[in-house]
Amino acid sequence: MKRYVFLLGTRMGEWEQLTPAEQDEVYAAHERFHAWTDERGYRRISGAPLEETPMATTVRHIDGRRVVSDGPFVETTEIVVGYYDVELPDLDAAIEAAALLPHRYAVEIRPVEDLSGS
Amino acid sequence: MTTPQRSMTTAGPEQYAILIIGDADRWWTTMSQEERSAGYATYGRFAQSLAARGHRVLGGAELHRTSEARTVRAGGSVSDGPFAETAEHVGGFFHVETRDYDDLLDCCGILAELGDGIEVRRVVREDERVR
Repeated sequence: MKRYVFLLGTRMGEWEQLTPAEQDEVYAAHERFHAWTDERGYRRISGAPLEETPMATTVRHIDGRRVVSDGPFVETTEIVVGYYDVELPDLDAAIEAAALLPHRYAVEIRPVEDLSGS
Repeated sequence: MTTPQRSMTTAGPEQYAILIIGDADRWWTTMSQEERSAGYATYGRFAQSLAARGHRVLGGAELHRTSEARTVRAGGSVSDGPFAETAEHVGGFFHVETRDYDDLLDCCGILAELGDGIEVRRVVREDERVR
């Protein structure tokens, strides 16, 4: 088994613009993804929906000083709104699983570094 | 726009995602073995601080270089690379539960020493979802 993180990206503020029916479809897509992994015995290690970036805080070091600021680190129109950390057999399965997630999202599939041997 | 009240010191536990954003590929490209070792030691110090200060780690991962990323776009097409067209990407993350948001930010300052931006985002609670 390999381990992949799915980063779910969408346009900022999109959620509020969806109709209740469209929001229901988003939830239904997550449930289809859960069912797909459960039926095959693939482990979902963790996952979470994230608040949109107006509620973000960014910590960075500038010239040796710690700087804490409101808002996201990168100013883009597309933001990460959730993630899944899952065990899957290979990249083909990861792409199949990612395609089940809400079609409004771009799903970035990232293999996880295995540190167990280091 | 006013900033919402964020101090969670006296509130119940909340979950946060700590996104490590920057030149994620440098760990495999430009960083020397010594720099990588020092970097992992910094992450070890961060993990120790979380444990010692009562912040519970629920999940997290170190992600492989962005050249290994694939993106399934809205509509279903698959492309190579991350979805955002920027030089900075998520290289890893922690999923943490805490009662003290300000102290969590203080711990995140340890990770920021490595030059990345550390973006802290609150996880949406079940009761906050619009149904």
